[in-house]
Amino acid sequence: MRQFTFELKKLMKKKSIWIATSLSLLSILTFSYYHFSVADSMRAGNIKKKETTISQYHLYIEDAEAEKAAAEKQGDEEAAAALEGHIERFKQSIENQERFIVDYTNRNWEPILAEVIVDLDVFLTDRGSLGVEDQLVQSFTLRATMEELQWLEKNRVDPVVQTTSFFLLHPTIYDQFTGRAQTAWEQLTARYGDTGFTYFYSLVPKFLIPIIILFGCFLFANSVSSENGKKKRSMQLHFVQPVPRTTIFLTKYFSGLIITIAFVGMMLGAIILSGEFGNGIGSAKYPVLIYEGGEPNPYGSEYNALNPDKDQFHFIPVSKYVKEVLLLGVILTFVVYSLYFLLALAIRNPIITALVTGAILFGGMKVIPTVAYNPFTYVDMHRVLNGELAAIAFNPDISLQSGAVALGILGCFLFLMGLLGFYAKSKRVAA
Amino acid sequence: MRQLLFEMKKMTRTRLLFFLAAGTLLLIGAIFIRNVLQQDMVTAEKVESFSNHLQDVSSQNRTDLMMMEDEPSEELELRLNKGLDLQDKLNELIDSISKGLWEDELQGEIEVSRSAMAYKDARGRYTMSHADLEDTIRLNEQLLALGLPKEDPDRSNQPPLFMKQMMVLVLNPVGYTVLFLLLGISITREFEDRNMRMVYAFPVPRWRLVLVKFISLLLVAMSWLVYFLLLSYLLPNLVMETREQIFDYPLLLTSGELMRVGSYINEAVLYSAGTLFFATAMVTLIGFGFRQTIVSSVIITALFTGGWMLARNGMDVFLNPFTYVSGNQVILSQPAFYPGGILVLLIVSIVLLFAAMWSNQRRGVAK
Repeated sequence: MRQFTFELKKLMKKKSIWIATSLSLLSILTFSYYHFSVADSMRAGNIKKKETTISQYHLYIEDAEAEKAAAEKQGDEEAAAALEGHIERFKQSIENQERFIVDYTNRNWEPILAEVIVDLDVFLTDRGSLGVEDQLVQSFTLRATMEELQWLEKNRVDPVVQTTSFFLLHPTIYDQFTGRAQTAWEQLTARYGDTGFTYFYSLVPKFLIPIIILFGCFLFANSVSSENGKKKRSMQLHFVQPVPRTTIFLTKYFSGLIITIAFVGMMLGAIILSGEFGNGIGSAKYPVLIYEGGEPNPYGSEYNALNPDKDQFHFIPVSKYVKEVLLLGVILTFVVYSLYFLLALAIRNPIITALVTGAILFGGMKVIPTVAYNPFTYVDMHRVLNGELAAIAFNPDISLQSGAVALGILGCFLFLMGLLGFYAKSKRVAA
Repeated sequence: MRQLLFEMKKMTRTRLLFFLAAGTLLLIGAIFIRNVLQQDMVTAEKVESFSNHLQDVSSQNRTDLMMMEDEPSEELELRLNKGLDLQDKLNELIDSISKGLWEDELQGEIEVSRSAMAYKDARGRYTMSHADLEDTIRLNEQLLALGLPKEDPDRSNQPPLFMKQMMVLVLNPVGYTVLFLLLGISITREFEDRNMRMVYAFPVPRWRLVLVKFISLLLVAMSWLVYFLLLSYLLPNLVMETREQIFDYPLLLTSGELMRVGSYINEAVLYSAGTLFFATAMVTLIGFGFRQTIVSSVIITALFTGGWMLARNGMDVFLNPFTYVSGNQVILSQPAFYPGGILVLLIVSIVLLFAAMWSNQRRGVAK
């Protein structure tokens, strides 16, 4: 226990570690602040678009009134009546836009969601008629969007910031746009979380957690390599003490691991709490889409294909998603830390160790086939937890539970390899 | 000069350069092999894509045929005729692709695009927009004029297209971050190992030490860039047959205009050189300022990440040097920034370098 406390103290006393941790925290908060500013600009942009539309309607009303006056002068009552109808419709549209602006500005989402749901329902009953640049939006996407909107309405949760010109569509893996349609689709469905939870949710698919874990290892997993350099050989002092080498290894290993887990937790907590720069931490009931996949083809796996009309899905609250992310994150931290610790026994330079660790993790994820027993599959945490990988591979075994087992086994193996490597290194350390 | 030679010797004697060179060779080799292995997939994907279009069009034709029997109309007849014509052209195109007849394929794709536009004008459904079809026609006409087959830009083994692919993959914020994390060690390690105490005791002006370090880092970075570009060019050039005029291969910009791949590579190389200049100056300032590997690494990573976020969210303005770190993005979407952007990078680099030299002029080394 004393040895463990001693290793912890050594880590905590390094000024550079404190400076690096503070800088990391400051960077995360700065990026978060910038993100929420962008989300705010997007909201302002949506309001501006509506105001521009209102101005255009005013111009149309002026033109229509002029034409109506001319028609009345010529005695064309039919034309005058038709123009009067147009004017009334334009005025009604202006009223609708103004009401939208008031509701949107005050974040009064109930009437907005109710209207979007009614409008979207038309396209659900007449499937396949909603398109982007002549390419159709799949029915799966429309159904998922409808259910998300209904969830938001029922639970009184604010949607994320998105362009309001196109039904607040939820992008899914069932849409495969090409060319300009793809660019247009990405712009229409670009989402900016303006609360802590939604911001966190938007960062997880971008490998936020593996990168933060790798960073944590870079800061805290160099306890052996930093003491065994060309000029600093304090490791030799350890080996002449009447302390078993296993104890030295375990204390160095676990002191770094605990601090790394604490560091990762602190960074993720900071991301969620940074929601205060935006619209607060947000609702824990925000919906997260989970793919349920499709039925395998009875004629063989080579004929498996996703069916946008029949495949199912459901939503879970973001609080449940965050818990699963944190659980998988802790296990992934154990694996990445063990791998880094093992590599650090051979590579003295922490930057190169971090790069090699990252290359192994992401290379393993890309190169090795996506199967349930491949631990590198679970580096892509978001796509595992939301069922996307399981749906694409038609393999429901790719799940949190399988991931915990596969990663746990790999972590234990790397831990044992680290222990053996430490023993081997300790024999080579010159007296 | 002696000092510079000494710094270069120090850098070349570390294993870092070896790892950098070996890593670059491994990456380029792996991507090249992947491209070679996936050539058959390119043909298969083209056939699949046009087969999907064919299935869609023939399904619509069957429906129109049935409707013609019940309620014939001029509009329906026109659409059906256009649809049948499109169906035939799609069949011919798929046949040309399967047989590997690239000239027929290019011409066939032009005819399919024209036929599809006429079909869409007759209210038929074809899942490509008019703009995309026009782009296809323009690109294919240019390729026919040059006598070049169409290449998959992400899987080509022709030297300039492979170079472009590698440049997009490596010369971006992530690649530069990795490169300068590795190069920055050469400054911070000297402070951490306390070698700098001895160096600062020499009768050499501090600004010269900083300048020499900057130049040595810059030379190494530029040498790596040359090595990277040479490797990306030579590997496909030596292994595969290079087509004539391949450097004139047209690339489609975001604006819809075509650009020679040779011009793209010229611009990308100059932007990369400018970015290396800028990043080296930044790393010199940070390295000499903070003098600690971990802290410097955090700051370098934060700056490149922040710069990327700024450029991605509408701050890709002319005067922002981080705009040019994503070279591919700026070439395709902001062609007007060339060549002024390189000047921006050079000016900012000089300012950063002067800041590094000035801030270290009187600063000692902690005991």
